[in-house]
Amino acid sequence: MTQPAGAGPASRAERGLTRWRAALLVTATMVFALAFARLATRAPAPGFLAAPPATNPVRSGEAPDYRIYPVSHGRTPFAHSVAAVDLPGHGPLAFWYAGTREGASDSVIYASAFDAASNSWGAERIVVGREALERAVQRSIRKIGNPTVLRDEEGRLWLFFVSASVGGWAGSAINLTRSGDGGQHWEAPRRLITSPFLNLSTLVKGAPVLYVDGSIGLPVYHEFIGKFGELLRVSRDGRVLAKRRLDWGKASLQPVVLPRSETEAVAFMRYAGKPPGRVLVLRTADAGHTWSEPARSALPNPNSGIDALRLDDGGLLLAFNNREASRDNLSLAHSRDEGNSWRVIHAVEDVPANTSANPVEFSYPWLLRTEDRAIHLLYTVDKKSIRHLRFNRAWLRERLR
Amino acid sequence: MTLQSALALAGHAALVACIASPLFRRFPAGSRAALLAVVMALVLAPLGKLPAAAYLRGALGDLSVTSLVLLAAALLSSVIPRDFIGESTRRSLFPAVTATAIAFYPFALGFTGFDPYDAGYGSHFMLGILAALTFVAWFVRHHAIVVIIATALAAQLAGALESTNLWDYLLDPLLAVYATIWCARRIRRRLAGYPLPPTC
Repeated sequence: MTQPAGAGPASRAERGLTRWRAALLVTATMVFALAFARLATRAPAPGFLAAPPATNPVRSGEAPDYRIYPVSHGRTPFAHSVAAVDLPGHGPLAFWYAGTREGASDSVIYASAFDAASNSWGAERIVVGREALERAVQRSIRKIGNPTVLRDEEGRLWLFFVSASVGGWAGSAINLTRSGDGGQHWEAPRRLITSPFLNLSTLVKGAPVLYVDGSIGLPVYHEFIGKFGELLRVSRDGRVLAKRRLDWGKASLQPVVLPRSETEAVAFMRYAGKPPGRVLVLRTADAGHTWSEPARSALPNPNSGIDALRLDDGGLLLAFNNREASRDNLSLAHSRDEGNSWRVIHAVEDVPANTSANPVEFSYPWLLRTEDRAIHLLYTVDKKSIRHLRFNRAWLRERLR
Repeated sequence: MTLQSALALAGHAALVACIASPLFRRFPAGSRAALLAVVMALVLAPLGKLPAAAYLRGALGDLSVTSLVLLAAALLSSVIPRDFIGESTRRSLFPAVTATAIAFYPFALGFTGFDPYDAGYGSHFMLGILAALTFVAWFVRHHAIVVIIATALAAQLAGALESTNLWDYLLDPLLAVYATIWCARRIRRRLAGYPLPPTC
C-alpha cells in the first residue's frame, strides 16, 4: 500500500518543527510585549526631595554651645567610617564598622544611640557581622566595611554597607538592611547588584538622598580599574532602578549630594588624582540626569573623605581635611554661593604631624542636623575610635560673623 | 534562602558538574546522570557554615541566564547524546558574546562617561535591539539563541536573579571568557589549517 504524499516520518518531523518554531516565535513575542509594556508604564524619573526652608530662626539669647563626646567605647582596636541619622525625639543614632584591624574578618557594623538624659553615647550594639551576612546573602564574605544610613519619610531606617568576598576594598559590593523600629530590629540584609563585572567594586560613604516619589538616591563610587562616583536610584522596596555616572576616570571617590530643589543639586567628591588635591564640585539642573564636569574647588583634599550639609538658610557646611597631604587637621568650611567660594570657619582638630611624636589622623567626617536644629560632626580618630562634635546654631552664627 | 539565591547556587553547582562531566564519559548514560547529580549535591551541601557553591558565588557573582541555559544544555548533552545548541548556533552566539563583551565591559567599568550598563535598567533602544536580534535568530533557525534571549528577558521580568539589570541576565564575565577562548581556538585552528574541533 502506498503512503500518501506528505504523510511520512520526515514530513511529520517537518510539521513538528514548524509548530515548534511558531510556538517559539509566539512565546518570544509575548515576552518582548510584556517587557515593552512594563517599560511604557514606568513612572518618569522623579525630582529630588529638597529639605524644607527654615521655620524657626535662632532664638535671641541662645548661648553658643560646642561640645565633644566620645562615641565608641574602645571595644575594638579598630573603628572607622561613621554614619548617623536623627531619630526624632531621641537624637543621633550612629553606625560604624569595627574589628581587630581594618579588613579583619571579625569586623562588624556597630550602632550606638546618643542618650540625652546622660548626655553621652550608649553602649554599642552589633547590627550585623560577617557570619550573619553570609547566611543572609548566601555567599562567602571576607570583611565588612563602610556604612551609610538614611531615615525615610515613613521613619524607616535604611542602612547600606559594603562587604567584600575577595581581595581588598576594590572588591566590595553593597548590602542593604532596614529597620522599622528605630534600629531595634533589622531585616535580613540583601545584596544590591550594581556592577556587571562580578558585581565588584561599588562602595558607599556619603549620605543617601530622597526623591519626591520616596525612592532613594544612593551616592556610590567604584575603585576597580577606575575611580569614579555614581548616583544609584533605589526603589522603596530596595531594588536598584537606575544609575547615573557622576564622573569617570581614576580621580574621584565618595560623592556627597546636596539637593537644592527638585531639579538642582550640588555634589562634592574626594579627589584621588594627581596633585594638587582639591575637593571636587559638580552640579545638576535636571534632577541628576546629567552632571557637570567635576571642577576643583579652592579647598584642599589629601585624598580623604569629606561630608557636607545644607543649612537652613541654604548655605553649605563642609567638613574636610584642611591639608595638602595629611589628615592631621579636620576643619569646617562654609559657602553662601552653592560651593563656588568657601570660608574656613573652624579647625575642629589640628595636630600637625610634624610637631607630634604620635601623629594622629582625623578622617571620614559625617555631618548631621537633628530635630533640635543642632549640628553634629562625627568622625574617625586614627582609625581607632569615633568622636562626636555637637554645636548649636548660635555657635555657628558666631563663627560666620 | 530566597529563590534567587537557590537559582544562583544551583547555577554554580551546574558549572562544577559541567567541568567534571568529561570524567564520567566512559560510564553508561544512567550512571553519568547519577554521578553528575552527586557532584551537584556535593557542591550544594553545606561545608561548615556555607556550601561550596556559596564560595564560588562569593568569588564569581551570579551567572547570567545565558550561562545557565548553556550549562543546562551541556549537562543534558552529557547524558543524552544530542547537541541541544547546534554548531551553527555556536558559530553565531560565541562571536556575538565576545564582541559584545569587548565593547561592553570597558565602558561599563568607567573607560568613558558613557555607561551602557545603565541601559539594562530599562531602555527602549536596548529592548528594540534585542527584539531585532531575536527575530533574526529565529529567521535563520538559531533557535537556541531565541530561547536564551527570551528566557533571560522573562527571568528579568520575574526577578529571578538578585540583579534588576537586564545585562546581568544576558552576560557575565565567565561566559565572556569562555566565548573568547572558544573563538580564539577556532581562529587558531583555522589559521593553522587544522580540522575544527568538536565542541563540548
